[in-house]
Order: sequence, then C-alpha cells, then structure tokens
Amino acid sequence: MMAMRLQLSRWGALTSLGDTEAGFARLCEGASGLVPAMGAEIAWLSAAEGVERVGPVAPVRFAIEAPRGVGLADAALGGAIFDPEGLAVIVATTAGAMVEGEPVVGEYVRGEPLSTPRAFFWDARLHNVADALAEKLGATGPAFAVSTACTSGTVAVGIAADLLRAGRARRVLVVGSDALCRSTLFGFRSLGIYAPERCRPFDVARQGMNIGEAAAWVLVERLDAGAGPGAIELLGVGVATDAQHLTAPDPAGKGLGRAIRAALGPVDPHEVDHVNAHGTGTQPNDAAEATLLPGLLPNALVSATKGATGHTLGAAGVVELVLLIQCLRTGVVPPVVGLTQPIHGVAVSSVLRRHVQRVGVSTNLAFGGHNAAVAIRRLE
Amino acid sequence: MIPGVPPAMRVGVTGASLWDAGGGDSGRGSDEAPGSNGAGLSLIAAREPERPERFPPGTWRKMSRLARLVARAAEPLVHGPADALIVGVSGGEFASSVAFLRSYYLRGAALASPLAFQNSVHNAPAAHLSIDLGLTGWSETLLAGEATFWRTLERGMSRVLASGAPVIVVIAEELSPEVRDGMKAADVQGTWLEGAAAFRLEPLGTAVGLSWWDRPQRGAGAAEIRAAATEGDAAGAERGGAAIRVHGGPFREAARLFGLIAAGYGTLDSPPHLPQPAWLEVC
Repeated sequence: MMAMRLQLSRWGALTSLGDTEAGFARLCEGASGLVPAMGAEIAWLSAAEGVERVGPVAPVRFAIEAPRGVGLADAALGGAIFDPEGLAVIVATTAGAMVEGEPVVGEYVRGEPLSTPRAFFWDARLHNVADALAEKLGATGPAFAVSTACTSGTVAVGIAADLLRAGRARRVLVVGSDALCRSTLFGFRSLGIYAPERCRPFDVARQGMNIGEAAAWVLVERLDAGAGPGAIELLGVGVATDAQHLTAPDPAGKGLGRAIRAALGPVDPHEVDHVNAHGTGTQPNDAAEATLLPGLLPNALVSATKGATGHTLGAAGVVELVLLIQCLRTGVVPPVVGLTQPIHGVAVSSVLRRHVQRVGVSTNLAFGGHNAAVAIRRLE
Repeated sequence: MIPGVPPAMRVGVTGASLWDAGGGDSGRGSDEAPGSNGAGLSLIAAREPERPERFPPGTWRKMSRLARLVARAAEPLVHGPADALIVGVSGGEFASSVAFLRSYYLRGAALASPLAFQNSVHNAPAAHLSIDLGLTGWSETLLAGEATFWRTLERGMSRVLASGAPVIVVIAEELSPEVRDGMKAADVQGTWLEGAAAFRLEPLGTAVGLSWWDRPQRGAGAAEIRAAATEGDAAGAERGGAAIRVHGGPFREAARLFGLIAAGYGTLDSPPHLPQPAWLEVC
C-alpha cells in the first residue's frame, strides 16, 4: 500500500535575521545576526528580533506573565490562524519555558526563598509550551513537546508524518522554539566547543559553535490531489543513531547517512539538488558531514546557515527546513556566512548561488550520536 | 471494545517490563507533605534501579536516576539494533538540569559541570540506551506533562503503524529531591509515582493485541478541557484557591497497562481531566 503523500502547506520563521521573508533576504545578502555578547564568558550569540512585541500568551498557565520560550513561538506564528479541528501541536525545544525558571533555580541552590515557586519546576516543564499554543489556537488534537537536543525540530516533523498517516490528526503544526538561556549557553561552553569568534561552518579554521535563539513552524498536511506547481511535498524524515559516543558524531557520518537514505525513501540520492547541512562550525560535526555528503549526494550544493542565525538548538530543524523551502521556491542557495577557506571537497560557497532546485535535504546532528534528515520536493 | 466501532489503532505487544516501588520497598522512601489547604502530596519512590549486565559500571555511575530507570525497564525488551525507541517523561531531566545550574551558580560559569550538562539533555536516557545496547534506529523523547502516558503510547502505536517495525515505548518518572521540592513549591496535591514501564510494540500477528479507541469528548471539546484544566491549576493556585491536583502521574497509568498485559486482557480508560479522551483494550 502506498503511503499517504504529505505536504508542508504553510511555514514561518523568526530568527535574529528577522521574520520569514526579511530574514531570508538578509541571509541571501550574507548578513549575520550573531553579535558580540556582553561579558567575557560567551563571545558571540544571536537574539531573535520582535519578541518584545508579543503580549501575554496563555496568561493563566504560567506563574509569570509570558515566558520567552512561549512568546518566541507565538511571535513566529505571527497571528496565523489554523483550522483547529484535528490540529495537533508538536513543539520541538531543548529549554522550553526554562529561561525564567533559571534564576529561581539559582535561589533554590543557594537555599534562598523562591521568588516564583511554580517557575522552579512545574511551569518549566517543556510540554507547557505546546499546551499554551494549542490552547491559544483552539487545537483539538494531541499536543506535546519533543526534545532530542539539536535534532528535535526534524524529529518533530517525522512524528507529524506518522500521526497523519496513522489517522491521529488531520493537520499538524510543528513549532521549533528555543530561547537563549544560561543552561545551553554555558553548557556548550563547558564542553569546550563554544567559539571565541563568529562561527565558521565548514571552514578549515573553524573554532566551534555560537548559540542563537529562534522559532519557526511548518504546517504538515495531506497532499491534496490537486496540489499544483510550487507545492512542497514532504518526502520523508529519517532518524538514526550512531550508538558510539555521547557527545561526538561518527567520523564518517554513518548514522547521518542512514537517516538521509531513510528520508529520501525511493528517491535517488543523485536527484538531491541542495543540502542545508547542520554545519555547526565544530571540528567533529563539520568533518563528519564533509566526509559523508559529497559521496552520498554528489549533485547537491551545500549550504549552512548557523554563521548567520547561530545554532538555534531545538528550533534548528524547523528553522533550517523553512530556509530550505525558501531556497527551493526561489532557486537560490545562500552563502555560508563566515566561510573563508572551505573544507576540501564540500560544495559550499561564501557567495550566493543561483541553482534550480527540485529536491532538498536538511540535516541535523545531536548529542547522543543522534542524526535526523528531512527531504522535500518542489512540485512542478 | 465498542460494538460496531473499529479501533483507531491496533498493534501487537510482545513484551512488557516494569520497575517500580516493589511492594513498598522503595529504597528511597516515600513522603507526604501537607498542602496549603490541608490536603497532601504523596510521593512514592521506586527501588534503586539495578544495573543490567550490558551496561558498564562506569557508565551506569554517570547516568542520571531517570536514565537508569529508563534503562532498567527497557533493556529486557531490546532484541536488535533496529528496534525503535520512544521515551516519554513528564518533566524530563530536571534533576540533572538543576545539577548543572548548581555548578554554574555556586562554582561560576568557568567551572560549570560538563557531565551535568550532558545528563541534563532530555534525550540523554535514550542516548545511553542506544550507545550501550547498540540501537541504531529511530529514537526520540516526548514530554506531555500528565498526559505523557497517553501521548507516548499513541505516538508509539503510530510509529509501529507507519514503519511496520518494532518500537519499544518507555514511560518513566523520577522523584529526585529536586522534583519533590519542585512539586511541593508549586503546591501540587495528590499522588505521584516514580518508576518506569516499557512495552515492546509490533505489527499485529502477536499473541497479545493492544487496541486504541478514541472516546467522544465528554461534553466539552479538547480545547475547553485544556483551558479548564489550566484554570483549575495555575489560576487557582495563584489565587490561593484550588491547588494543582495530580492523579498518580503517567507512570501509574503505565503500571496499570503493564498489569493488563500480564493478565492478557482488560481495559484502561483515560482520566477525565485529560483532553483527547481514549480507551485502551488488551486482548
């Protein structure tokens, strides 16, 4: 039996570069939202614009008025309206509504009275973001969070596909959202992989990653029989683990290769025109992708956007999927911001390239040797 | 079953595993804290998880309590590297998150603990399973608060139907001191159980079948139930009125399903305070 065909019918993003269209235009110009950070510990980061415009979201759900993790997602949605019947909401995040909880955790570990007791644990649980959005949208389908570190957004799209094919939802809103917080900024710094400069994906002299904050969303639905040219078909999502190391990828990218093949399904890898790679700017991640991609997807140009947006962690999969959709629709491959001397053999460039694209792949690697890939096709 | 109505989903169950308090011998004790209105919060801890042989002692020591609970329940059900893994936890790696922030706040940013940060990643329990048991297939961690049991099981069944391959579903809850303090700080009242249950789900054709029916909404729609639950919880607690009430937590429902599977038959109804009501049947 042929699997139900699916499409990404609507999408949006809010990053440090701006909203969906303005942000993509700035990306194509080679702009970066990464800015020098205050303080000596963290050198560069990127904050999403526009969140301050947002009013309270689900004000009775949280002890504080508007957690940034929720406000960021709400701002990215920008007032979009969806048919709520059978609408499932999946939020991909690593920190959720934790940002405001961190100072309260500080009070707890110092033995001080808690200024906002519910923010210590109860309100900080990740599913609250999904429930708050589902409540606001009137969604009648399931709502939950998925957290697989930096692959969360791509995994969430795969879950959406399964829920639709199993008849558990009529449409699924997948939201990736992660706000800047101490846990992630100083956590990655503790691992020694936070770059002292603006990150440089796929550059031979790369020194690590920078964190950015962002939110993005896609609506996943059944592909209508009458879907016309320009529609974006979701070909598939693949997830695979290296089963080797907690914080380092397989050097040859074997798990990622399995994920990409699973995402493509019956589509020939030679048909892939563009890969929006994970490209964190860390030595092992970029090396693994650089080893894998030229052989597996020989006809694909490669882009990487974290030099412009920063690594948006749980949101990255959805942010980068939205950027890939825009690339397929406009026929451009954005420059890799920060690139000066590419790793040999990888089809990256520091300048914008015009390239007709029909099939695109976006990849993510994560903590735990977790790999995920999503493949899409622009209908002609 | 509901006469004349086919189940929304149906899969087979080829294994189940449980790690719980073990008849009251929790190993960590239980406690009961009075709430603001005189009602209590009863927290029932699980036994200390024993290390499966396939996990090296050094790794086991570094794993969080939540990760050890997940590993203890799931390990007997892992047959091969392609088994998919779906872990559901209501609060994630909260204790490890606090451990990292403790190192950050008390020792300073320069000495923040990388091990605590690794363990604070909510997918860490699944990652340990994949590394130490050689799982290379689909893997994810899902969080849905009190609805975690139902959403994780629904998700696992949908994965079996979409992929036609085995899926190990794990529902786990931890009651570290930090979680206990967090629940008390939020004035949560009721009962909450610690433990982990795992189920090996496969396409139909097995001895025990698991069916999922969607129940009609009980009067109000999902959005209204969700909003009403919120009103009753957060707003009430803020006003000093009705506190947040819990009903055993996701692990209690997972343990009930384990019992039905062990018996080979029975039904389980979702509690009325959750949106998207459903009904499970084991037969």
